[in-house]
Amino acid sequence: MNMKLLQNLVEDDGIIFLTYGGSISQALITAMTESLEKETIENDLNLGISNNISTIFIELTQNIMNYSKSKHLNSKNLSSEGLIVLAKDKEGTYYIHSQNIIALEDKEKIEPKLKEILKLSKEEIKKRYRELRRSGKNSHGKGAGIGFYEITKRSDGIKFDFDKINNDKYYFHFISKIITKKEK
Amino acid sequence: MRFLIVDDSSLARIRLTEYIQELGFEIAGEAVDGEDAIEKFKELNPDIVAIDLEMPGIKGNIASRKILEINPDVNIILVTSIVDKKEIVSALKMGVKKVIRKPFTKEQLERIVKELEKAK
Repeated sequence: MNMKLLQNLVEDDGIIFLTYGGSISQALITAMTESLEKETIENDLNLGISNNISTIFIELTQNIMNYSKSKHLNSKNLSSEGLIVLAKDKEGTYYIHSQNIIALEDKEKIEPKLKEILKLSKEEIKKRYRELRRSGKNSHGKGAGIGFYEITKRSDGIKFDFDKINNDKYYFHFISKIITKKEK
Repeated sequence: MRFLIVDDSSLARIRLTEYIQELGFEIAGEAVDGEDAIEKFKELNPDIVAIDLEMPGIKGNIASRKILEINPDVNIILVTSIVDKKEIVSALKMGVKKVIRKPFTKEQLERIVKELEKAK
């Protein structure tokens, strides 16, 4: 995994309070979610914001579980490995980073969807999300279809990039930003 | 379908309530532990009870058994972070319809609820 990411995070986002790189299981997601929820409670975040942070974290870790490919270059097997980092800056803004290896075919599905999402306003995302949910489209069994709309409507900004490993595989890095101290 | 949400964590109740409402279902009420769940069930008569297994006092599986004694046809979804196969098998044998592992996404919950709807 790309350790430079961690260094950049410390420089850019301040405090890292949860980080994990490696094989991700449901039991591990459970433990990390509990730890995250404890963190948000200790920081007196309101329940709505805490819920947004947890939900985004759950969606991103489930994506790693469902889509990560083996780091062995010639293997086409799934391998639930990834890097997840939760950071917080001095203003109390949370950043949830996830990074995992995905196949070219998944990149081709995810990238246009994310590019479309970036063009939409928050209200348009919510509207589009409701339409997709009603239609039952954009969901392909393992999630990560409507999930990015779910993440974005709960975030105060998202970023993503794909870093080519070889012709079949890419690192997929995703960041969700959640502002906890909003100006009135 | 009307849901009764049972969890001792307020954050978990908020998440589940939001998921269920966004899926287009109605929340009949919430309960904070097993004892409260039994009382609220009698009072509200929901179609589905989504109940956490690990709660202080009366655990979710015990509360589910008592609820099923009141109404054997009610749909119960047991929510758990523990993978104790014996406990899960025992709950299913008792009449719990579905088990879902924490933490879950809205889509994972939706699949389970749709299966319950189909089985009606």
